[in-house]
Amino acid sequence: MATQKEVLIGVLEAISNKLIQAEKMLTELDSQVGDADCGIGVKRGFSAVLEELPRTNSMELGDILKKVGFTLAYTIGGTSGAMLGTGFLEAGKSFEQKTEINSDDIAQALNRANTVIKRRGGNTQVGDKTLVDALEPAVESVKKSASQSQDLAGLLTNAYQAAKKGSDNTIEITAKKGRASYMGERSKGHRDPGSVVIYLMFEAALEYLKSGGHICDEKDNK
Amino acid sequence: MKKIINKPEDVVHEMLKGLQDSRPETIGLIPEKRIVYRKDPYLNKVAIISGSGSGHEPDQAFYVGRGMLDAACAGPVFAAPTLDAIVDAARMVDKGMGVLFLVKNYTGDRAYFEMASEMLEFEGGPSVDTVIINDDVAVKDSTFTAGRRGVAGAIFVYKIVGAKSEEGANLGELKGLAYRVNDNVRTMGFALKPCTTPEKGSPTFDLGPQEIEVGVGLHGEPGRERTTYKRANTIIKTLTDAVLEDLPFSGGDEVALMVNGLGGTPIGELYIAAGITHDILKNKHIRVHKTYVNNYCTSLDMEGCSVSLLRLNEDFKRLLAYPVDIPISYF
Repeated sequence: MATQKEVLIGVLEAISNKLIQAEKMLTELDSQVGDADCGIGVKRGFSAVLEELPRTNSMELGDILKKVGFTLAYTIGGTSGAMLGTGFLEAGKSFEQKTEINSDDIAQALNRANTVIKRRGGNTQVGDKTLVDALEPAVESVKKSASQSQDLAGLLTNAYQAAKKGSDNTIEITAKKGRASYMGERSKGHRDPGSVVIYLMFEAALEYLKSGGHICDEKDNK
Repeated sequence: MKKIINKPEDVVHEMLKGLQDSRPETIGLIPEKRIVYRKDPYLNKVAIISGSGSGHEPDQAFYVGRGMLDAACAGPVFAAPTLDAIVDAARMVDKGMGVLFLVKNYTGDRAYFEMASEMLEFEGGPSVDTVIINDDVAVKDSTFTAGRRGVAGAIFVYKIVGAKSEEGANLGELKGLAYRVNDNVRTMGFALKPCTTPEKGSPTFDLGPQEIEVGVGLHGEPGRERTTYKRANTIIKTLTDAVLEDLPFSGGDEVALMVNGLGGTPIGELYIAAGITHDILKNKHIRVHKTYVNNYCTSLDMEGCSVSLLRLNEDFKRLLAYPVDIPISYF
């Protein structure tokens, strides 16, 4: 059976690959509401993460996430780099000193990430048309799943669906934060690219798990 | 758009090159990171760094020098400096006593300076602390920030904290001092005309020929109200009253007054504003110890000004008078 560290690194690889592949879609979405640099920035950031991950083998769980956070903030730039970087960094802090994590720890880490992103983004709320519109419902869903002792697959399925729904909701609202807020009413009718990044992360983690991930992968025992 | 620029994307690099060419003995530059640093040697001193998007000159690159900032991190026009530049700058200027970041309260700047502190802690760097400056009384909140924005009052913070750092104060003392200056300074500004960013080439917001934006932010964000143009006496009284009521300042206070141009207003008009503020303060028995009139913290070519008041104590007065060697000294 794979160690939690191997799973974490596997999930982070899956997320990175998914977001790198999403470059074109993110760029198209961002050209409708922003400055069309979201896709290229996210690709740059997660390509750097892919390069960094093999070097994180000797690190603790929390430090791996922190390293991802700093790498994203370094390479993406702009407010999106700061917010995504903050998310991973804070999740990493939440795992500090932990060698084994459970569903409650995941819920706590995501909750901390969401809380600090909201504060750092300027008291961002659901409805402002940012990544928080997808992240917060996902966090709430994970908290609920954890309290009901659901398995990881169920937890991730619910989280992905909540994030996707939250992202769908951004289509019909007017941006109040971030670059799209410069467009005011004209931002209506377009999906927020940051919210897409969030649901794609949960989707990637779920797919990784469903594909056998490395959670109970016999290949690892060879 | 007619400006002294070549290509919009080269504006910041060419400006910083010109600064370094003009002050080669005191100013160092790392062009690819847009870090401006102090060249003359110093020891036994906490290093002071500020940074933000470019377009607010002379803030901050032109305040680098003995008695003020040890480095400035310049971002692209109106966009935060990068994390790696802030981290590198901190490692570069640290002399073993640590580094203090003085940051105006804008979301991107704040996020990157806070992350830089955490990164230096994670990777083992100099000890760092951050003070967020938020002197603007115009808004409680805006689309750009949580809470009040940091504007021209920041210059008083750099000046006083920079001077104290030369006296060998430690990181904790300087942090406390920075908060005390921030707690005693208030600012409000207004715009007669919006600014034009090099990339966009057109005004960043629309302001009718008879309109003014009262409480404007440093990037043209809206503030308290958009209203019809009024004569100088009325506009400047609105700004000054808002500043006075907020702290509040009261009779018997001794203050430093800063009338700060936003970039496109003639110095002569700024002195008209200064004269009006002096009369208002005299009526309220508030004594002006020293007046600063110039472009200190601008928004490119925006027309308009801000009024800042700093309530003084003997410590602040002494540190304001401390000599500086920065590029914008005229002679």
